[in-house]
Amino acid sequence: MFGSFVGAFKPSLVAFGGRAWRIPWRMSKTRKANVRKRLREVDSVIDTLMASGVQCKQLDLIKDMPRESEMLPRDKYTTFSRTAKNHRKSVHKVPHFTKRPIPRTTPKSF
Amino acid sequence: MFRSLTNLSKTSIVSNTLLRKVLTNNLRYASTVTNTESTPKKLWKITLKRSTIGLHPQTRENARVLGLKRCGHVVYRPVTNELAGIIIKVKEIIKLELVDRVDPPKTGAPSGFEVIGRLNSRIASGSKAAKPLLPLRAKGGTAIN
Repeated sequence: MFGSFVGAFKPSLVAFGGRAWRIPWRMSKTRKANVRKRLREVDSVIDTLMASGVQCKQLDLIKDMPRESEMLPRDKYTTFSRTAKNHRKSVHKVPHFTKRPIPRTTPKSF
Repeated sequence: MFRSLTNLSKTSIVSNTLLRKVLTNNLRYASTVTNTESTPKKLWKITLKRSTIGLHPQTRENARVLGLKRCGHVVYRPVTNELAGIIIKVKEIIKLELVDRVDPPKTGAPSGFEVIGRLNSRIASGSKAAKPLLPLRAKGGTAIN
C-alpha cells in the first residue's frame, strides 16, 4: 500500500506531516481486540490480588474500577486529552499505551 | 569425540550448583510456606510479560524491586500488603498467580552423548605423527574396535 511513494530514497509526503508511515486516526478490529484482551489481563491480576486477601490502600482505590465487560467502547478505545478536539483522542496515540496504565473512567462530562 | 550412551536414564548433565542457585533464590522467600490443606496459599508467582522499556522510572524501579530482571522472568514472592502495592504499580506488564510452592526448575533431557575427549587438544600439540584415536567404547567399557 505504501510501497510506491515511501522508501529509503524517497522524500516523505508533506500530507503525512513528514512521517514515513501514516498513523491512522482509528484502530483496526484486531488492535481493538488486543486492547480488550489486555484489559482482561489486568482484570485477572486485580482478581488474584483480591483473592489473596491483602489489604492495601491502592487496592481499595482500583477494586471499584469497571471491568472490561462493563466499560463503554469509548472508554476502552479513547482517552481524555486536554489538547485534542472534544477533549478525546484514540488510545493508540498515547505512547506505550499497550503497557501503560490508562484510566478506565474519564472526567465527568468529557 | 563422543560416546553414545545406551542407557539414557542414568545420565543427567545438569549442574548441581545451577539447580541449587535457582532454588535457593526463590525458596528464600518461601521458607514460611507449609504444605497443609488448611493454610491459604502464601506465594505469588509473578511473570514479567512486557519489558519496562519506555515506562516511568518509578515503574521500572518497582519491577526491579520485585526481582523481575527480564521479559519472561518468573519470580515467587510472599503475599504481603507491601508487595501488593508494588504489584499494583506494575499490573499492566505482569502475570500474577497464587501458588502454594515454588515450581522446581526444569532440567533438560539427557543429551544422549558424553564428551570423553577433545580433538583440538591433539592438533594443538603439533605432532604430525598419526596418533591413534581413543578407542571407541560402548557404555560399560567394552571396546568396539
